[in-house]
Formats: sequence, structure tokens, C-alpha cells
Amino acid sequence: MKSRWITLMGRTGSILIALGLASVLLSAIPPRPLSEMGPWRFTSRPEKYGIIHAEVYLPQKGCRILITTNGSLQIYFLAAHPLQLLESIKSWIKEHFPTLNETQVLMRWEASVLEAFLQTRPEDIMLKETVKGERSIDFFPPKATNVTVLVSNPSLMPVDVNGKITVISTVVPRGRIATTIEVLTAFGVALALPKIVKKSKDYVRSR
Amino acid sequence: MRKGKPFLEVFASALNEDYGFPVLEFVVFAYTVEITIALETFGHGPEPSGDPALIVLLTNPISAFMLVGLMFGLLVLKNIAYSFGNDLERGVIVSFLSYPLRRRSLLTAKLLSSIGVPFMLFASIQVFVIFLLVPGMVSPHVVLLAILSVLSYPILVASIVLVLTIFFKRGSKALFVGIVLYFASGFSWLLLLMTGPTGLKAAAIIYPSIALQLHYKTGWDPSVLRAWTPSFNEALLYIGAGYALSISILAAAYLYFERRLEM
Repeated sequence: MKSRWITLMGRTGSILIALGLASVLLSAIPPRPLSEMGPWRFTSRPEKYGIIHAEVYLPQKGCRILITTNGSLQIYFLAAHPLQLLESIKSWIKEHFPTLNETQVLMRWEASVLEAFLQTRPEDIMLKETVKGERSIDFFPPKATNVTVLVSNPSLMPVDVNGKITVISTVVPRGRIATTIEVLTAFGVALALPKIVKKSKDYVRSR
Repeated sequence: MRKGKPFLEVFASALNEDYGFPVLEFVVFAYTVEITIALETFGHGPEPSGDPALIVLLTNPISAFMLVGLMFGLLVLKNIAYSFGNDLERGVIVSFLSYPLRRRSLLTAKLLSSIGVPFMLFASIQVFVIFLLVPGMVSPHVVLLAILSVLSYPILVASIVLVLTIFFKRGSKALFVGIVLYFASGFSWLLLLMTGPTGLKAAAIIYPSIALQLHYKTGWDPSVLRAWTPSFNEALLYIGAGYALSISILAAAYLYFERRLEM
């Protein structure tokens, strides 16, 4: 009877491993491009920031940003609608610099302001990357999110930027599939192990 | 010997006989890959729109029967007609009857292996893929209903094949009938569709997924949607009717196997 249970557990384990392997294969399928924006080029002014892209993204629908710079830049992927984000930054500036008038507030596209503002809302930063030279960044949010992409130049020198944004789609959500593969494979191996040990023992005994 | 032990013995032996390693593993692997790609490609892609979209995804012929999905159905027919039919034909079943086990329990153990395991895997993989692709965006009861409705017809065909196998005591004829019925499904509901709302309702008893799709007003031509829009309770009733039909055929198989079949 014990061997029947070992066989049953072994079969369940091998099925879970098969499911895990299928998930590995699905996650290995490269993302397919849906649409493309660019190529574009601009000069990022010293100590300033700007919005370069905004879109609703899903766990399976993300973006690939290909960017080339001649200096160091910060790229932020923020979980916010661009209008909401600008409104929040405006309120933050008014709160911290009450002497500024409306026009001056609107002109404050300073990298230091952005840094200080984001320190109060770290939960909005989905991804922060430093770019120098050529770089390709793939981004997929863990859930459906309004995403705004900002480029900030904290240095004292202007930086030339060449870029291209491609909206990409994967068969399975990258974030979720990794955990799923780990769980399935771990349980599968644990269940199949007694059967593998038994088979190995039988093989050694038969020789 | 404990009460459940002979049942488990027969079940384990049937499992061993029905699915040699790595048949089941291969089918699970291939079906997971196939249904995920089918749902992503032919479905609503990465932007699902709730329960109606899910009904189309789960109950449309692409995800239910295409390629490997079909393999589950054929695997079930092969298990019943070929494996169980061979047991009857060669008298292997007599050795099982020597176990302290009622005939109906023997048949249940065999059916659990031949029908239960593949359809349970079929449903589990669909649930796994749905909750991997669109977690939190679908209602669990709709997933359950969609899977129940889509499995109704294969279970009906499996029941018919079981009756024929027991009646003829050999599987070849039953297997042929089963395969013809399985493949004829596509043509038959198209014929029933052409006869108007009455034909549509008749088709919905055999394929309850039609009632569910029409309730959610999705997956069909607008002219068909105008012809008949069942309420949710009506859709449930049609799923129930489909299963009642299968259960009555299975009951006939059980009765014949228990009381009339001579070995």
C-alpha cells in the first residue's frame, strides 16, 4: 500500500513539474511589440526634469525604452496619471514655497524639486534607473497602472538624449509567473522525490 | 482488508494501465502552453473585460477543443473504450470482481481513473491559467460554470461510449461511435442553429455552453443573440439538463453493469 501512495505522489509531483516546465517555456517567449513611438531626440537641460511618456500598463502589457545619452540621467517610472502628478507637484511647490506666484510655480521643473517631492511619495516610484550611454529598459507593472515616465538631469551639464519607446506584450505576466514556477517546481520535486529515491534504490539493487 | 483498500487498489491499477509515464505529463505540459497562448492570442489578449469575455475565452471551441484540448477528450474515449473494453473482452474484469468490492464501486474506480483524472486536470489547468492571466478580474462562480458547461458534452459522449462498451463487451465499435460523435459536435450544433430558436434551445441541452454564451450576449452573431437570450437561471437550467442527460446514461450503464452483465 505504501508503494501505491509513493507512486501516486510521484505522479502528482511529475505533473506539477510538467506544469512548471510549461510555465518556464511560456515565460521564455519573448515579448512582442504592439506599437512604437519614436525615435526622438532632445536635450535635457541641467538640473531639470521632464515627462517623456505616459500610458496605462498591465502586468502583460509593458514598455521597452531604448535610450542613448552622452551623460548621466535618472529615469523614473511613476504610478500616476501625468495630470494628477503635475497637480500634486504643483501643490507640493505651493506648500513649500508659498511666496511663488502661479507662473513661477509652473516654471519649477527642477530636478531637486522632483527629488524632494518623490521623497514624500516613495510608493509612487515603480522603477528608478540611472542611464549613461546606451540602455534598454523593460517595464511591466504588477497590476493595471497609469504610468508616467520622467527623465531627470541632476547634473550641471546638458545631456543629449536619443530614445525610442516600444509598447510590448508578453504571453504571461512576468512578475507572477516567476513565483508560480518556483512554487510548482518545489512542490513537484518534493512529491516526486520518494519515487525517485525508490527507483534509484531498485536500480542499484538490480545491478 | 479495510473498506477503501480494494477500491484504491483497483483505482491505482486503472491509473497505471490508463496513463503510462509520461503521457499525462506531456498532455498537461502541451495543454498548459496551448491554452495560455490561445487565450492570449484568440481571446481578448492582455486586456480582458470581465465575465462576458471570460465566457468566450473558456467556452469557445478554440480553447476547449483545439489540438491538445481534443487530446483530453480522445484520452477519455481511449481509456473507456480501449482499456475498459479490453478488460471486458479478455475477462480481466473477472479478476477484479474477486476483490471484496461491489460491482458499482469497481466501475466507479475505473471511471474515476478514465474520466475523472483527465477532466479534473483539464479543469484545473483552465483555472490555473485564468488566475495566472487575469487574477481578481473574474468571478470564481463564472469560471466554475464555464468549465462545467464546456465539459458537459465530452462527459455525455463518454457516457454513451461507456454504455456501448459495456453492452458490446468490446471497445472498437464504441470507440468509433465516440470519435464520430466527438467530431460531429461542430456540425450538429450548426444544423440545430439553422432551425431557429427551438433548435438553439435543443442544442443548448447538449452543449450548455451555448446557453451561457447567449446569456452573456457574447461570442455570437447579433441575429442569433436576438433570437434567444436566456436568463442566468435558464442558463443554469440548461447546464443542469445537460448533466442530467449524462447522469441518466451513466446510471443506465451502472445498472446494466451491476445487474445484467454476464462475464
